[in-house]
Amino acid sequence: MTKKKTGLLATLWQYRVAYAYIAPFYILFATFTLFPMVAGFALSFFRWDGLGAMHFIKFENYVNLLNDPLFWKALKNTLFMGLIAHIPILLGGLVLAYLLNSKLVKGQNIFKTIYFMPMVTSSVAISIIFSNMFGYNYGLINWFLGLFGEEPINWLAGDGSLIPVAVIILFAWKWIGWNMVIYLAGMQGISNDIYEAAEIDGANHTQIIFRILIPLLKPIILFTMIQSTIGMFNLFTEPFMLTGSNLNGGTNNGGLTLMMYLLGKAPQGGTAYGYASAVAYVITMMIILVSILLNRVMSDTDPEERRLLKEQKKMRKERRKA
Amino acid sequence: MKKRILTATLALAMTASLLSGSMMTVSANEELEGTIEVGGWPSGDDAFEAALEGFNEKYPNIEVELVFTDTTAHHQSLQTSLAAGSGAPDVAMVEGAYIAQYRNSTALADLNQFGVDKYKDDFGAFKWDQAVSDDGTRMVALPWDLGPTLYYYRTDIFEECGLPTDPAEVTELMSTWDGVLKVAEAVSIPGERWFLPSAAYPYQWMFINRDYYDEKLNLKLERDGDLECLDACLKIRENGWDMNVDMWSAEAYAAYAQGTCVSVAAGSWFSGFLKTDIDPDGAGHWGATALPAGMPSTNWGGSFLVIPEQSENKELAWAFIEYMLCTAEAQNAMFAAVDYFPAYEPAWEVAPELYTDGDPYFGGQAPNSIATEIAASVPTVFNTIMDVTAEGYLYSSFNAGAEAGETPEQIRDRLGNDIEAACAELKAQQIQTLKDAGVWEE
Repeated sequence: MTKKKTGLLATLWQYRVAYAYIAPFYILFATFTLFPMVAGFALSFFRWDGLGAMHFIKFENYVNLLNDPLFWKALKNTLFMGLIAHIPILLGGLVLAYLLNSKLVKGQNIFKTIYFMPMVTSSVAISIIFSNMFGYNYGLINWFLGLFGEEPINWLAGDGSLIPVAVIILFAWKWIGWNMVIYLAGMQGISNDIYEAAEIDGANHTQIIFRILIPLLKPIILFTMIQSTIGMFNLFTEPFMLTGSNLNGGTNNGGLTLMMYLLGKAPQGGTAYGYASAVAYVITMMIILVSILLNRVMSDTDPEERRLLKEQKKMRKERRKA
Repeated sequence: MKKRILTATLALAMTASLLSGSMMTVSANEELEGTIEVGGWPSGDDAFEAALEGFNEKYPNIEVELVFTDTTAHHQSLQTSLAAGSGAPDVAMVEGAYIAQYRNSTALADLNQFGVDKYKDDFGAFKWDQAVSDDGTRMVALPWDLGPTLYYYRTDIFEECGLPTDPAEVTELMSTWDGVLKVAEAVSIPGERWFLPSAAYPYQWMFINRDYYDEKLNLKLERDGDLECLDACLKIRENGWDMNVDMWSAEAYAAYAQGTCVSVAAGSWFSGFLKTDIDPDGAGHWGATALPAGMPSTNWGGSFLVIPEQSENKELAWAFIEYMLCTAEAQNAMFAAVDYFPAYEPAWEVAPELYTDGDPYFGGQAPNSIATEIAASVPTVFNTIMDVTAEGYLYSSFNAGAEAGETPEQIRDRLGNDIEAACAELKAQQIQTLKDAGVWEE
């Protein structure tokens, strides 16, 4: 009997049929995801206008980026708008889902459709509606304020400090339905038996929510939170629609977000492709860090469970040895 | 003499074609054969379609496919396919704001190989020079149209307020900043009717040529009369004579049509915007003249055509560009169709009626004849890749400064700082590009 070959290639060869079956995925992944990721990373150490010669400049892009006050302004704006907006998005989504899931509401499907509508509405239509609402001279909100004798507020200009408010409202309005649908799906996945058992055991409403519903929804909540984090760092369309096409976020850069900052360098506002790649990588790093952190916090299991897991691991190890 | 006969013949051809709808065949070139793809954004496609019949008569064996999308998407995919080396159309439109990014690019074919130089005198120098590489050896784009900046005003409101409506008289009345402020005061009813969409715009009018930087890449914001201009802008803001909104916003659009925003300035292509989009029912209550307060002639945008180096049909592509941009019949057909003001100057003489005849939409005024005068006197400027970003700050920095109660000098300083901060990386990139072209000295 010949000695069995080991190593990566041998394993690949051994499972060649399986790999052939999953080829469509990894070939597409390598071409459209992996390659751009690696190429983008390499590009972030160059100065390149997209067409001419590339010049290797080591870490200059990253150094310049960290020294750019506009980058910090964009980061601050993004975090502020993202964090504030996600309070209504996550909590509101949860509450709406709970209401729809309870038997209090009739016509569930109608409400589901209504809340989900903003997600599928064209952003051009949304931008027209919202710029009409937040308009200075003819805006709906200012007209309403006018009824109480208030002075009109210049939401989208002024000193720029109210731009985030408008963005948060638009952003929350748009995304609340999305989270609601996900939570609702999660809630419907929880077996009714569990609720019934809890009721028989004498649990009240609050206890059912906090002891049963929320813990069982934890993976779903984690999923929406990670999604929201990514959504926050990618915040672009809403402020862009409200502050015009300059990519500077309006007065005093009030609506400038990280993604807008990136696109302003390349490819939309300029042609600093190397620099834009560096910005993209810094944003990616932030998303990864926050996702890991969220995973840690959320998957913090209780001590008893952790002990069991450890034991399992130990057993598995011993089995492998034997 | 020869030129005059030619001109007359072309004029005849043009008139004949206008009357009968058929083009006079000059001499068909059947040797050039194949299909070319032409890419751009609307309403360039409408323009080409208007002139395609004449092209097909001259080149019966060249088939033209139009691949059109919106401006941003077009430039992005063009940029990507140029970098990738494949996928670009044979002829592509490039907007004026982007030309600084492309003029040094070797990914675009040098038009000198087709003898583009023979047309040099037919185009205004300011537009021609924008398309020549920084070292002066290559020319990768040919100008299509111009946007001579006009000041558009509501004649009905002017009349109602006892002001003159004739372009020459309006220009005379508004020849100084005091005159401008008087008009602003006369037409404005704070909270109801406004002189301009934003008080930031008169200041922006000083920079429409996008000449923010000199050839040493020093920001040059200081120019004749800028502080007086800013001072007037601040007065307009303080008195509530402006709407304080972006001129492209839905609010401003509604106000132009309703007559609650009385005036605005833009490139002459704005005539087309007014007629088809903003105020289609507004015939007879718009007028247009040169910019007020004796501001110099400026050009607002306008596009170019390029041939990507990767194209395998360069000769056909050039035949297309040469016909579309360097013949009066095509340029005028496109002008008549979509209001793209020809950069090709002989077109102005061949069909003078297109330029000098009264336009019913403008109550019989002839904005195009004013535009022609302006186009002839636009200075040559130096454009950079920072221009687009810099332009964005004219509006927002003015608003920030006005809100903070700053003086004209302070606003100018603020604008300078804002532009320098936002353009730092782009400037480094521009210096690199100039170095690569061998025209940058430390």
